[in-house]
Amino acid sequence: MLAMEKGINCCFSASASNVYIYFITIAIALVVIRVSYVIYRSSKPLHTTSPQPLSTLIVLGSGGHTAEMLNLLSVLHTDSFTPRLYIAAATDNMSLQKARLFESSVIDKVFRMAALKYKLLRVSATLLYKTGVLENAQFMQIYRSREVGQSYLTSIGTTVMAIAHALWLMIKIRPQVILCNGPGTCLPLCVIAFFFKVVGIRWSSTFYVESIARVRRLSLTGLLLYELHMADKFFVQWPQLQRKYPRAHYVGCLM
Amino acid sequence: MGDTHDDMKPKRIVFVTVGTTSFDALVKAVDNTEVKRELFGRGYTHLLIQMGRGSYIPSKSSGEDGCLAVDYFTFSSSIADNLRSASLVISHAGMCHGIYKEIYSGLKIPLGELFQYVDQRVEKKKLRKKGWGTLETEFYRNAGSGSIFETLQLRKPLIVVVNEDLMDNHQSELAEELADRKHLFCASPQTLLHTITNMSLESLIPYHPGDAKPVAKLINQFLGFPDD
Repeated sequence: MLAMEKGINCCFSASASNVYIYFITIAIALVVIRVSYVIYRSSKPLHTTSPQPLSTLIVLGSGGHTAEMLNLLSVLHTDSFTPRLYIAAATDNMSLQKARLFESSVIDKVFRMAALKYKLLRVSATLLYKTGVLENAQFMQIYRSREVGQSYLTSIGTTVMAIAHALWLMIKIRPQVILCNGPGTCLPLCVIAFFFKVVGIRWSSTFYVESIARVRRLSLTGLLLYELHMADKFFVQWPQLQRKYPRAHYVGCLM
Repeated sequence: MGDTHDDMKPKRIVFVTVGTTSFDALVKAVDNTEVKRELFGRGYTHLLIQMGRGSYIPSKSSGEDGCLAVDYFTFSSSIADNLRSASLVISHAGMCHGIYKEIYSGLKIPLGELFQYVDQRVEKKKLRKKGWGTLETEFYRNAGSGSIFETLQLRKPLIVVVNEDLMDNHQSELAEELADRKHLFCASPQTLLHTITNMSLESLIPYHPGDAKPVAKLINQFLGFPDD
């Protein structure tokens, strides 16, 4: 009797641990399936019958990144990429300033056409300008995980801070399109966007354009995004890179 | 008399720029007597050095006794003007000039004035005369694509000097690639004299600025936006 009970107990605990293993296996399998589906789906174009404007996150960075990005934005239809959210490192004052200049040039273009068409008065024109800026563009700063020359010990703390801040910003803005071209700040943002896709919070398309300064090797950010399949479209500006990384698209120089 | 003498002999300026960083090796290399003699022999009259945060001070010279006139400054708000007036540019390989004041001057003023213009119903022609018509191009030029491309787009002969002291020097990749395509000359501080002695400006091929339209097209296709 006792032996039988013991056997049943044993059997029960064995089956309980089996159930755990079973569930964990299923969970892992589901995650793997979901992640591979997201990667597969990301590589396919969006099939939208009536394209709506998409909220766009634009990652800027000093050292030529911002200039290249604004070059790209100047040929995109800004109406389709609305609202635009610009993000730059907290220590980088110039990039957002340049983005503001770009935005005012966009508004100017709209405004100039409207003013010529309807012969707007100054007051209404100014109003148009102000609401335009407020609605269509936002400018944000993000903590950097590591400044140049910072020690590795303190950078653990700042990295955690930076990731938390990036997560907070991404929860707030949930962009549908991400445009980035290499500054280190775009890596956590792209990873979080991918996580949102997997979990189902928000589907987004990530476009990565490697900087023109990278001729033979990808930057660390670019390499990680390429290898992890986190960029839906990956563009390079030199044919040598395209040969080395066949999934990338060669698009010629942007400058 | 002196003025007519100046007119007969036009200024040909060699402009050396190191950006925001310090690049003493480059400043030292151009301050070398043999480099200066070679430049003078090639018909250049002035040497202007933007030395940034460097600590090496080049020797000034007024250039009266049949040699190169040398002048230097640390930073300037009008580096684009320096580039435009130069006959030869010797530059660091970095992507950014870092002299940002001029970026503001491109748009700030016309934007405010614009409202007045429209209010007064000023004709287009007058706006263009005021510089409004060229506003956007002004902005992009002033926003600066980094020194290499800025100089190339101005169609100036350019020698890029790579800073070998920098650890992660991917900037030299770009300079070497553009040198292979004969858009510029690439040197190091040690080989600068050699490069200047052997360069032939006729062999340079003008750089045609690229554009972002292919990227924009692919992005639009991907997202299902109409393309035009």
